[in-house]
Amino acid sequence: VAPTIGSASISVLVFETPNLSAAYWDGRIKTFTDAYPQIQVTKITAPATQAGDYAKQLLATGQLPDVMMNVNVTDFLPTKSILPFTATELAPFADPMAGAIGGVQYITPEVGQIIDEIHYNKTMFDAAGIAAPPTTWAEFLQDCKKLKDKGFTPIELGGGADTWTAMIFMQTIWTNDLLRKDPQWLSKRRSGTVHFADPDFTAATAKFKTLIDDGYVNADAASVNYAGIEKAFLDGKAAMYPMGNWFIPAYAKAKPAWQLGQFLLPGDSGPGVVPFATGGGAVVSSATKFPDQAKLFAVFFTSNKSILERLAVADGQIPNVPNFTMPPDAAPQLADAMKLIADATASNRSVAYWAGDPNSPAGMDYTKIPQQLIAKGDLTQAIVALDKQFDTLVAAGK
Amino acid sequence: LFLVSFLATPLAIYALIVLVPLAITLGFSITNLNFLAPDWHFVGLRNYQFLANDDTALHAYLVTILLTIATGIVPNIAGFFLAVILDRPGRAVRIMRVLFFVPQILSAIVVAFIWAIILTDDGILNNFLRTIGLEAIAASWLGNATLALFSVAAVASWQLLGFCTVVYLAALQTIPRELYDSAAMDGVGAGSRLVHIQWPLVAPAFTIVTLLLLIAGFKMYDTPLVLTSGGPVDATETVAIQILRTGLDQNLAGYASAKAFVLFFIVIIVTVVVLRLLQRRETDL
Repeated sequence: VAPTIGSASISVLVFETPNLSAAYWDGRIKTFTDAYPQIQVTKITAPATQAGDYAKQLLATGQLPDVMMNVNVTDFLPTKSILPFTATELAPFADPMAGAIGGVQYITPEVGQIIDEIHYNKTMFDAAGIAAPPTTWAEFLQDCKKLKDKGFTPIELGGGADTWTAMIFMQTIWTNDLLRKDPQWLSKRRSGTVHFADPDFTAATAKFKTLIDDGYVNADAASVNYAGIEKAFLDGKAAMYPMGNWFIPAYAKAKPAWQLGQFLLPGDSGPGVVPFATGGGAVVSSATKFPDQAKLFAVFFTSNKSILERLAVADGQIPNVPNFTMPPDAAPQLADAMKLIADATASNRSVAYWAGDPNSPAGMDYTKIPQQLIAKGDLTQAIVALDKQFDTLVAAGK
Repeated sequence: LFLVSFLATPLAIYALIVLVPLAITLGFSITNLNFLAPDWHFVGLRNYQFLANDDTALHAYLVTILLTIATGIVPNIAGFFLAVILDRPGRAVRIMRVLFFVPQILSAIVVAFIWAIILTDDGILNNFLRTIGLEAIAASWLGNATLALFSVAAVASWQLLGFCTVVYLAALQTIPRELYDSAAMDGVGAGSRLVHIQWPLVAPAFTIVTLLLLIAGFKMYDTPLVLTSGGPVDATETVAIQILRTGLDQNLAGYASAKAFVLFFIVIIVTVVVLRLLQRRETDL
C-alpha cells in the first residue's frame, strides 16, 4: 500500500445482522475516514445477511462495488472479478494466507471462527456426574447417556428454516474423521477417486445417526429454528449446544444462572480438531477505479485494532491480528475459545472446515444428510443421494 | 390499418414482457449459462437430460403438483360455501366478509411467519392442544415430512380462502333475487337452491377461480420457503424454490432455465385442458 494516498470515492458492500447494525457499520467506516479524510466511502447494504448472494447479482449486472464484505471468494474467481492481495499488503494479519486459494489470497483474513464447538451447561454436567468434558468419541457417547439418564436432553440441534444449524455439527464430524486424516479428501471426491458411499464417510456419518437413534438429540430438531435452539439452550433445556463461537456474546447478554463451558467435539482416539474458518474479511473488485485506495480501505477496515475490538464485543469474532487482546467489555468466554484455537493449532489440530472447501460445487447442499437422519431416514439412501447431487452439480457446471 | 395500429402497442408490450423473456429462457436452457463465468456455451438438450435423471428436481415437480391440487380444491370449495353463508344482508355479515378477506391482503411472507410461530413444535398450536388435554394430537407440524406438506398446503389455502370467497360472493350477488323468491314459493329448500340455482350460476366464477388457483399453486414460493425452507429433506421444496436455488446458489442458470421452461410447459398444458373442461361444463350447465 502506498505510504501516501490520493483522494478517491469508493463503495463498500456490507451486511446487517442483529449484532452488526447500520450504526455499527457507520461507526466502522467513520474510523477509516477519520484516518483518511481524502477517501470518501459510500456504504451499500445487502438486502439479506448473505452479502455474497447480492454481490453475485451485482456482478451479473455490472455493478460490483469497489469493496465487499463477507462474500464467497470462489464465486468471483472464474470471471477474475476480484484482486489478489500481496504479502506486503497482508502484513498486518497474524495468519495472512489463511483461506488462500492456490497460494493466492483474495480476501483479507480478518477473523477466525470455530465452526463449530460444543458449548455446554456446567450445572447439568455436574448434576450428571461428569467431572470434565469428554476427550474421545466413546467418552462423548457415555456422557450423552449419563445426561439422558439424568433426564436432560444431551444435545440441542435445529432445523426448520435453519437447516445449517444441524449441518455444521455434522460437518464437524466429517472434518474430524476425514479432513483431519486427509485434507485433500474433498479434492479427491471432486476427481472421483473417493465417494461419499465409501466406508470412511459412511462410518463418520453413522455417528450422527447413532446420536439420533439413541435419543440424545432434542425431539423437535427437525423443525425448531436457529433462534429456537439458542433460546432452548440458554433456558437450560439441553446440556450441549454445537454452534460457532459467535454464540458466546448471546450467552453473555442473556446472563443465565448457569456457567458456560466449551470443548471441541472429540475424535475416536483423542481431542478433536478446530474446524476453522478464516474469513468475514474484505475483497476488492478488479473493476475498481481506485485499486490502491480500495485495498488500503480493505486492509485497514479489517485489521485496525479499534475496529476489531468492537467486532469482538458485538459479534464474538476472534481477530486474526498478532498479539490481540480482548477488550474488557468482551465476553470472558471468548478467551476460552481463543485458547481452544491456540491449543489445537499448536498440536496441528486446526483444519479448514468442511463447507469452506472450494472443491465442493457451488450450492452443494449437505444439509440433507442431517435432515434425513433426524427424520429417521435411511443412511445408505441419504449418502447415495449425496453422491448423485455432487456429480450432477459438477456435470451441470461444465 | 387502423386495427393493426390499434393492436400494435399492446402486442408490442405483450411481446416485450412475455414472449421475449420466454424465448430468452428457452435459449438459456440449452446453454451452460453461469452468471459468474464468462465462457458459457451451447450444450444442446443436456440440461433436459439432467432434469430427467435428477430425483431431487422430479420430486420438486411432484411436491408442486400436490400443493397445486390441494390449493386448487380446498380454498375453492371452502370459499364457495363461505360465500353462500355470507350472501345475506346484515352488519355482522359485512364485518365477517372483511375478516375473511384480510389474509388475502397480507403478504404471504408475513402470513407464513405468523403460521411458523403457531405450527412449530413448541408453538401456539401444540401448547394449546397440551393445555386442553389433547397432547396426543400435538405433532411436529413442520418437522415431519408428510405433516409439513400438509401444513404448507393448509397455510396457503387459508390465505387463498379470502380471494375465493370474494369472487364467489360477487358472483352470487349477481343472481336475481326473484329466482330465490320463486324457488321459495315452489317450496325449494336451501340444499336444493344451492345445487340447482347457486352452483350452476357461479360456473364462470368457478372457472376463473380454479384457473387462478392452479397458476398460484404452480408458482408457490414464499409460503414453503418461510415455513420450512423447502424441508424437511425436500418434502416441501417446490419447483419455484428449486429454480432460484439452482440459478443463484448453484450458479447453474442454464439448468435453472430448463427447469423453469418445463414448469411453464406443464402450466400451459394443465391450464388449457382445465379451461376447456370448465368452459364445456359452463355450456352444459
